[in-house]
Amino acid sequence: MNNTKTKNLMQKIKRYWPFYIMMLPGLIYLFINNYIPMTGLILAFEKYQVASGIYKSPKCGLDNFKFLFQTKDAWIITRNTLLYNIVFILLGNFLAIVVANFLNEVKRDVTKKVYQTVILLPYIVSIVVVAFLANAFLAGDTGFINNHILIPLGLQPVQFYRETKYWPFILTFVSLWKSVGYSCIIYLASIAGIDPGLYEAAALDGATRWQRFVQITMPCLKSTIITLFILAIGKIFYSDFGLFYQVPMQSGSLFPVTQTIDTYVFYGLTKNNNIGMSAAAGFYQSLVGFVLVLLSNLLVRKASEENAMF
Amino acid sequence: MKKKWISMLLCMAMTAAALAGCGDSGSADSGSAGSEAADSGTADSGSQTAEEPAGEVETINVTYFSFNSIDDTAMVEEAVNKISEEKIGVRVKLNAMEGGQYMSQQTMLLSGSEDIDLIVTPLVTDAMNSGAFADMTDLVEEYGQDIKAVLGDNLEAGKYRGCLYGLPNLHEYASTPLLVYNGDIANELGLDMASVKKLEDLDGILAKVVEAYPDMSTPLYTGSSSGCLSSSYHDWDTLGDNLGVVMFDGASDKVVNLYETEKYRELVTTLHDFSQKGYLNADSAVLTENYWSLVPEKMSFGCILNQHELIAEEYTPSTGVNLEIVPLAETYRTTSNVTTFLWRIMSTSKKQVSAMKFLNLLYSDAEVEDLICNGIEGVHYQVTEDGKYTYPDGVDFANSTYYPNIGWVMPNGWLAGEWVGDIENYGEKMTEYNESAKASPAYGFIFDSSNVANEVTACTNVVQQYCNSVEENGTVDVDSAIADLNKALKEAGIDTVIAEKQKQYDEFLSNQ
Repeated sequence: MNNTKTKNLMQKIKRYWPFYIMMLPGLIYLFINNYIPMTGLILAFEKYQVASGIYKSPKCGLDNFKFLFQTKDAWIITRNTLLYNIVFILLGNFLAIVVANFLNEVKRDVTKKVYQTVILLPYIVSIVVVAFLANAFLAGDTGFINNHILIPLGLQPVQFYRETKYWPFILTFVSLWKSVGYSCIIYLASIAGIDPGLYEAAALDGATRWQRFVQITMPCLKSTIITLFILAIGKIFYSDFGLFYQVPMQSGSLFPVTQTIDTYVFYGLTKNNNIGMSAAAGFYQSLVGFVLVLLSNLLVRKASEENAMF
Repeated sequence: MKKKWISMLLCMAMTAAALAGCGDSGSADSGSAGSEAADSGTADSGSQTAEEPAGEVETINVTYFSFNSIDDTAMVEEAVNKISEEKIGVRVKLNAMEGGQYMSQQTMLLSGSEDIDLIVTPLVTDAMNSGAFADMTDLVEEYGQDIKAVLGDNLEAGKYRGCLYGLPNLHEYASTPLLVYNGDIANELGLDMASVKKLEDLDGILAKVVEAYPDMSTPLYTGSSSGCLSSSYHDWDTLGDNLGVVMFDGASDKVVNLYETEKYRELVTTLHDFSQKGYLNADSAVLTENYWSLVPEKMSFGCILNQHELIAEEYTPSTGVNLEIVPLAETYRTTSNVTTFLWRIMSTSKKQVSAMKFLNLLYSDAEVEDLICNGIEGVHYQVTEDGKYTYPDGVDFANSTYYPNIGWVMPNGWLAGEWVGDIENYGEKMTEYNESAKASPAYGFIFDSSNVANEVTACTNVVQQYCNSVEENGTVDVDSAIADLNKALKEAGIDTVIAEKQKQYDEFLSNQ
């Protein structure tokens, strides 16, 4: 078995050698850039000493991880990170599919391009700029919402940067507004790749637009959805630092709903920039992400094997 | 067929991209590293061959930062080298970094992987713990006579666990809790500023200001970069982080929990009162503009902060407002004030003696200091009749190729020439101010948080979360707000931090 496999590989190399050579620089790059630095993960278990260097510093077991779990904040930051990401993944993909489908139905090329560009624009805007755009709407004394909507309607102005209850919605809205244009490109490309013959046949058989969407588009998108889903799951323990740090403008009162693992680590460690502790936080995030990818892939393989990534 | 072509193209594009990416990062990295290596290499080999008889001329890497224009650093470096090679037989590589880049890379610069000999940093206790810096005690004795003369007793402030890991640069060594205010408005409204002796006295003054300027967004500016007023305005010794402080008017050998003190309660009560009366900005937690940009717009009257007494004079030209100050408490010299910036020799440096020689030169040689701070005469500045510096003809702030504005970072910026519009005899005035200050009982004490790093991290987060709403939000109840803060701090382990601090402080006091 093993023998035939190697034989196959040898045959393949013989046959496709130009492609392997083409792949080589990429692989070397990946190895140098992504695999060699991984050895630095050892920092998470060390009390780093400059003089001894990365690999020879005194080991301290799991001490560096303690700060992540020590306080009641541990529960809050983990909850925030997970829930926000789940919402972003579900709503984000849903919206992206819907928007991609809408765009696909636009028949005039120019109009389609214009729409697509407009939807993509927020993705290109720097998160710092987005934070100030949001601030222009939300500011207590000069903000648009307070001055031009609430007060003219005779309502009490709202101090957005002090009240936690609005922020899950604000952050979700900003995140979706910013990312949907980008993620819909991938779906748009997949939809464009679906054989138009299928749609024609369905239309001849009298399928409505909705039926065509459910019966043709969705099944054809299935593998794309699953791939993106698994990729997103791998990052579920990482939060979009810019979003959670910049958009709430670092307002302390909002921490119960805006603090995520990344911002917590950032706030905590800018004071005492402990290399070991930040390495520990990163290690913990990637470990959980890795396990979750394996798990979700396992689930996918159980459900439909041909769609699993590995 | 078409598909095959496309995949071929894609393959090629990807390979090209990978190559380009690789080449880019590779060349950038190896480029900078290579050029440094080449620099020191050529210098070394050069000195070994050509200048062997005269002794080896070492090239040291001096790393510092500037937020302004530093394009012509190489030109300055050449001029500096001429002097330093003649005087002390050392050549330098001036590694001037862009300020933002320096700040973000600081941890990496100090991790020992870079070829740096001399560097300026903030206190960075963690780097000191990890052995990033060389102990300079003996080096100063041997090669730093001028440094000892210039710094005097303040040399001790760089001491940590008995080792001299850094030397403070010359700047303000004390701070006064004070109010900076718009003198023009005060005159216009006939405000009796002389009657203001403490924070509470501002009530009547601010009431008149608000009455006259109802549209003013921030009559009293309380914002600070870290979000807590108590970290930028305090009349106690913060011991670096406010987690366990020493009160100036309390027991001088006791570390206390600031947030449980009567003084903190009073401060918060006053601020709540001010907030309810509309003196503070409602969005103070997320205020992005600083006082100096609000005051010319008449959007703010005064600002409370800990600063030196020349601050008003310093900002008057740039704001175009006649700023004045009122001290609100006594002036104290604390470790945090003195150790804002420390010049260090890296422990990984192999040229520590040369580095110390050059550092000594920086503290004492006006010519070298002037070159680095102001550039070359006729190119980067010209001297007016009364000996002040100004831009050469056709050059201004925007297009100057060397205007680093780093007098406040360099070891002895007071040696450098003064510019038109600068405060005259700044160095002398500041020395006088420094000497007028009382020393905090904890002066010289540096807390090592490594044993309680977890608790400090947790407490820092708690303070970040609560302090703004506790201190500046008039809508919450003072007592319950402080109680909430303290409850969260206790859970985060502030008692452990304070106990550890007290232990180290006792040790520090007994060694004095």
